[in-house]
Amino acid sequence: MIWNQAFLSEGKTIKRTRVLTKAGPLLAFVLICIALEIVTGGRFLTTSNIANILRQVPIIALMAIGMLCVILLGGIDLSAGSLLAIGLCTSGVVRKFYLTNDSLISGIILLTICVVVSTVFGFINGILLTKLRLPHPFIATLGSKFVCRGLALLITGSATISGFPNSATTIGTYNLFGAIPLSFILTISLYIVMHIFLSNVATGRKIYAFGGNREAAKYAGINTDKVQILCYSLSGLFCGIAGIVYLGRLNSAVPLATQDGDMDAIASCIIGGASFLGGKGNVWGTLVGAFMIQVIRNGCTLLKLSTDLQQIVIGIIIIVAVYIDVLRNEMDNKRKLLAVAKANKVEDANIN
Amino acid sequence: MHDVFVELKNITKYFPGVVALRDVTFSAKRGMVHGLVGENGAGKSTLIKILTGVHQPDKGEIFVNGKKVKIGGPSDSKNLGIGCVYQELNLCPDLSITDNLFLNAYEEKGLFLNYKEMHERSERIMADLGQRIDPRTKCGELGLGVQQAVEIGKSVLTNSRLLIMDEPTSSLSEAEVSQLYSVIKRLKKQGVSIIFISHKLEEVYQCCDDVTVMRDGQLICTKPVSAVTKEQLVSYMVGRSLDTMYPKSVTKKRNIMLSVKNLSSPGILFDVNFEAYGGQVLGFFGLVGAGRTETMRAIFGVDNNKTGDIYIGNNKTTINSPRDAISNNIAFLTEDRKKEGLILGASVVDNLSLVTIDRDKKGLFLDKAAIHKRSKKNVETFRIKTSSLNAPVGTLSGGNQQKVVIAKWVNTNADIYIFDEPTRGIDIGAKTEVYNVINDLVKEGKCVVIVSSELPEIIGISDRVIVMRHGRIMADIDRQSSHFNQEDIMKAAWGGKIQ
Repeated sequence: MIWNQAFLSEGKTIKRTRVLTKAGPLLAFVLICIALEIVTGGRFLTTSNIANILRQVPIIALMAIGMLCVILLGGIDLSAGSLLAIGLCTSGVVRKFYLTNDSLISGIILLTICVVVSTVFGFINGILLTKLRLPHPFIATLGSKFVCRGLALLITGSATISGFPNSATTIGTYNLFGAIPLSFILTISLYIVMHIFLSNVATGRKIYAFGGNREAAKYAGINTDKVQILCYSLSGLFCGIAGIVYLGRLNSAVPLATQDGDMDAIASCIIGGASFLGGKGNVWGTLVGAFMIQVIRNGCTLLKLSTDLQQIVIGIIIIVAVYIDVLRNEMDNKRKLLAVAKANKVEDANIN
Repeated sequence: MHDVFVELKNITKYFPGVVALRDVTFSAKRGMVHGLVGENGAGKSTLIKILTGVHQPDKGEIFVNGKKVKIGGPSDSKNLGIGCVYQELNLCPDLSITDNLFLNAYEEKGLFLNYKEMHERSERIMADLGQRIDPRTKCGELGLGVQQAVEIGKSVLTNSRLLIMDEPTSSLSEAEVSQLYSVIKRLKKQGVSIIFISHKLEEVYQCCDDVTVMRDGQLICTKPVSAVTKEQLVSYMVGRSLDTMYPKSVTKKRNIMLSVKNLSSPGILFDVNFEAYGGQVLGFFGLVGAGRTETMRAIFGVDNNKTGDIYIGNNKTTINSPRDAISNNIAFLTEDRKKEGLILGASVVDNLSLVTIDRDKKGLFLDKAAIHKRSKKNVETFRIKTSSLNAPVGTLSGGNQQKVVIAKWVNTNADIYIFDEPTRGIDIGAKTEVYNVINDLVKEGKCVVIVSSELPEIIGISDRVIVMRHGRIMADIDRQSSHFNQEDIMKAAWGGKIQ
């Protein structure tokens, strides 16, 4: 009871920090955009450049949302980039040898293959982790990272397969009103769906519960294996969808596609405020994280900075973002401790 | 309707190296509060975990409502109407009260969660439990009392017919405890059976109808609370008189070896001052969260957000890391033996030389022969029961593991020994052996500081007791003082003044 009162009086500050937690990444994103607009001398916020960014962002943003599910569990999916590649390349091989006509049906089949294959390998990750009881997702997904990439190279003979039918590439290439990429609309729609799933569907809440406190989830009778398998499958599914966009944009299946994809996806989640320990994070932060990475890449290109410099900038941003989070948590804890001590003092004074 | 809700018949459970439960028969009646008491390691927790489906019995049967059942996992237990509030609260700190309450019992409207309904219900449930609070609050922001109410709420929500409470009062304030009692009364009226585990016999008398005593994995007796005295309960629990349990030898107090001046840490410790002497056991008592462990961690240099001075002998000493502490001949035997004290997979000999590894060198290499010789001597002096020096420490019993930890520190030639809960989770026989080792250290003139939450233990082995509360020292009582008794020490721990 007394604790209660202490926290009620602290309520305002807690609310304020909560707003900051949510808006923090967005604020940083806006600042970076303004900074880029200034250093590029107005070349950043042009319609064509913005359209460019909207075309570039979906692949990483889609992978990031699957990754978020896994990170919410307190897990990690190192195989994301390879999951995309294996789906994409299977689809490419089918196109080259079996489905050579350009009908709408074959387009749909090719895209389905791309998504299903990635999902199946994601599902296998989940099985490795739960049913084979591999001790840490790092190991299971590190293994499948190599296996999937190797398979992608093997089935394509390490060569790019080009020439998909229009019906398959449309999602990756079509622009609404001539400027808004269909892939971006798809991404945003899926973000909305996942937001509802994670915040308003029982299964989604179980993901947070598992990540926040495994024991509590277990004692609540949650089928923890099922939740984990679902999340790794979702990671595969979203890699597959990202694969569709990739397939359309490049009109080819590249076995070495998105080699850094998993790291970009992880970075998006982390910059977006997701906790590596699990149980904390949301889709909008992740979207901002994905944008942040893409915008920095874009800005560096506009400034004609080399890719090595881009890497350094992104690396520093990840570290700074997480360090800010660490500082905020420490301040939070300290404030809570002091509030409790104050309440204790009042209680002790009442006893005597 | 059956009068008895749940009945365990002849339950036996083995763990590697121990029989955790031996032929236990136990029943809980509707609308009754059943106390369950016993020392640490008596088998209470195992019994509970069998009811909640965490462990499965090796032998015996379970009946619910007169029907034989099998509890294969936590969800089975839940479906049978069994709820449990564990001592370590199991909440997701980043989720709201509602989310925690409805974990896996969600209200859905079609595909989606019906948060409006859930928030309303959790607000009502929490209000019934005496907590008026916004159900959207994250659990990590709540005090322990409210967190516990959330745990009880989970069982209320799923309409549990049996509620198990494992030491529910251990971290509550007095006001929160009386609130808990009224919640228990209400649940009782609704015909809920309650199993109430406690270390504090006063509580058993205050809220239980029946009481069962367990010892060494066996059920000693079940009696109505009105038909048994406190002294009888204690003797059932201990199984022998307290004098043989706590072999206290009188030693001569020597000079001051450790003094702490104005030790403070923001929000945690406030002006802690005390001296510890050679040849004396100084006990630290307090409720959970009193700041005892924090004091020891600050002295040992684990937590460094501190101000104040530490004197070893007469010398002011800076201790900013465990390394500093060890080189000043301080030994710290942590509360959690398995996590912080031992490397369970490593051998006895490796564990015995863990702290001294930097000194056990001959040139560049470890002096294996000397280490072996010393370890052999350790095993003899401390009567460590092990199949060989190379056996993994994890295969030893709890008491012998603890002796390995003590020996490890004795090898450093430490003068000041800080024990945090030295007998937690070890059986009664082994406890006495640990006390004997402590007595030996004191006889040699060493300074021993003991933190314990078990009042009989503190009283049994200490020459002097310091009582802490909320990060402050409340009392410093010598064994010769008239205040050196359970009542006065407890009173100080609750914040009362001793005249």
